[in-house]
Amino acid sequence: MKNTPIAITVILLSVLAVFIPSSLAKAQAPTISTGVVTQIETDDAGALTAFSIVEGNGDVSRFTVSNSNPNTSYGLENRVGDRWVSDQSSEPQEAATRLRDQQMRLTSITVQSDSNSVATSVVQAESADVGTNLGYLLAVVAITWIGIMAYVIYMSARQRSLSAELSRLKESQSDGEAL
Amino acid sequence: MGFPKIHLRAVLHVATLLAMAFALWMMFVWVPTDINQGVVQRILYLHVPAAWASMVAIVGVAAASIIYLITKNERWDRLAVSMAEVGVVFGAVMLISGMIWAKPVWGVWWTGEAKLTTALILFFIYVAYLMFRAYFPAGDQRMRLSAIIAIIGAIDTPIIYYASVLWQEAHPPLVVGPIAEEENLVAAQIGLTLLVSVIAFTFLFFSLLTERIGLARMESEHETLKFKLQKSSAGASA
Repeated sequence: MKNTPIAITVILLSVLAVFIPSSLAKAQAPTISTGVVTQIETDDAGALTAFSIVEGNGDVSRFTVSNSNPNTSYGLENRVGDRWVSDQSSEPQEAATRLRDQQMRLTSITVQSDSNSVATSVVQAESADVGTNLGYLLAVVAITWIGIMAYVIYMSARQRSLSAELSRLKESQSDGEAL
Repeated sequence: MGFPKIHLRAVLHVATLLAMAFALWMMFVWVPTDINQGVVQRILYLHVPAAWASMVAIVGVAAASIIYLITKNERWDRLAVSMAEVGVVFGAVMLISGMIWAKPVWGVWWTGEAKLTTALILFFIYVAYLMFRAYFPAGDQRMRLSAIIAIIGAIDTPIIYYASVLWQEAHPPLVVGPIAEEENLVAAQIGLTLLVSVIAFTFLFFSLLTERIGLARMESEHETLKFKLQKSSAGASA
């Protein structure tokens, strides 16, 4: 019984070590391009279909977008720094609007694409302000460790009080037997 | 004979500490910042392992409960209640971290989508199990009934895992595991960090569990001793 938790750990770790890396091995590194938007193409409904960027070395790259396999994802900030996070299947018209905004402001965007030049993600390069959403991350880290430490302290206090109570009961028992 | 037990526990605690330190270094220093969500995406390395640990706990509670019903050995009941309590801690971390992550990414603290709802149900199952044990008088009937509650509650676990496949809503599709589709797989560095973090949380789970089992053993001894003393004092007064 005393070795059961460790035996279970070994079994679980073995299972993890087999199936997670096998999934990861299938992942392929995407092509990453960074530049300023030069052209935006939309369909009749105003939904984004393709766009082009000019990179720092003067090369122009054209990317198509897709709403499935892969569903192009977006992470673009507006003038005041609010980040819009969405994807092609959810908001194709908004994607065109946001990219036009990027084009007008000549802001640099980063595009991840597959081998067929289909954009998998279109994002504005992170600003130097590391404080962006940092508060949320810090809150999660603090709550996680405070919660776990509080539980450890609770267990420790309960162990101490039970230990004292057990000693008292054992004394009572031995007194009773002596009588 | 106490020495080997302390030694094994100490080894487990040190391994947990080292694994957690390495995982924290990977999640905050080594892995690059996600270009889409920014730094807030690092919540993934705490949220998913906490969810994993709580799922392991409920499966463990159900397995220990089944074995208890078959063998009637009290040790399995102690294992079940210990796993349930540690599972509540990780379940709470999973829910709170998920809510905090949802706010900047989805714009809301909570939605009624399937994965969130079933995860909340899992948390309530744990809490109900522990409340039942706290208020029902100690004895065979409590152990038997709580084992049945745990087994029924475990049905929720596969529903949570497959929720993002069955009902495609705000939660992203499965990114790791046997049924993850190729286009959803995460980048290698993110996946490796997630794997290390899951391993570290698994160690932490079992570290807390060994301590909780020790506490459960003391609780059991306390109840038995108290019952014996009450019986002997009742006999003496009669």
